[in-house]
Amino acid sequence: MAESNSVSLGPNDKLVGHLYIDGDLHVSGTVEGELKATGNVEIGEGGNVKASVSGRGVSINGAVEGAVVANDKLVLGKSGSLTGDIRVARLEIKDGAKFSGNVSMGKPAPAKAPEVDAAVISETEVVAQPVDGDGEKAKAKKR
Amino acid sequence: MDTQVAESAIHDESENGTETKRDSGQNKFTLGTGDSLDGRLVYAGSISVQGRVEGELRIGGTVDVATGATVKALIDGSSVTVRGDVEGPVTAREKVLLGRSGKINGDVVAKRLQIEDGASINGHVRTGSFEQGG
Repeated sequence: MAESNSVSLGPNDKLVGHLYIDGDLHVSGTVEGELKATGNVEIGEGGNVKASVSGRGVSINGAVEGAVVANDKLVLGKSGSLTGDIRVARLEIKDGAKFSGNVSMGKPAPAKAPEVDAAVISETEVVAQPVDGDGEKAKAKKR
Repeated sequence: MDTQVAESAIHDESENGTETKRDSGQNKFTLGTGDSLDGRLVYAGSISVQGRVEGELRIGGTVDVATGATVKALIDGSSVTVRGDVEGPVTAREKVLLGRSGKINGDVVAKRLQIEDGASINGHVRTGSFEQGG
């Protein structure tokens, strides 16, 4: 459904923690923790990610340290560097890319999800209360 | 280090024959579609495999595993191109190219690595500086 959503973290942005996005995610800043998107995840050239990354399609042109799961395809660009184990359906590595880790592929839809799953969603939901909800807002704040 | 070259010493002139150059215009060993090699091959030139190999390939030049070829062997070469089926560890001092029809089941160590979309790989991969064991 709603996958028109797109979130971008610029070169000077920094995130420490878990991020769950219903849509696409673009990172050219610094991230520490966990990234999960239902759409595509793109780590730009200046991106520095020390986190597990999960998405439908994942493309890496920056530096990533952590496990990567792509339900569809992982592309490691020529300026990309990746240290970590990956589970992907399809894999493309450009000449010049740096990579170190375990690769497992072949199963399009992994039945047993790795450590990246569940539990992440609840944390991000809390913040999402609407600002303009008049009358009932006291209730929302309490949580 | 006894090098027991496999029974396939038919084309093998790598000893002291009158070849062109020892360096880049070297010998080439082609294992055709119906050919098979069982054992260990240490070869200074390059090899192209279209058939079946089981054992060990230690190649000074390039190793080319063509589409349709099946290799269940340790592969060690300066550059390795895989478009067929490989089961076993692959080591390249220069580069490993895994083509879109290629399949590797085993660990890969290479200075450079390129994988085309459609290829399949299962195993541990490490790229970068070769001599350092880190």
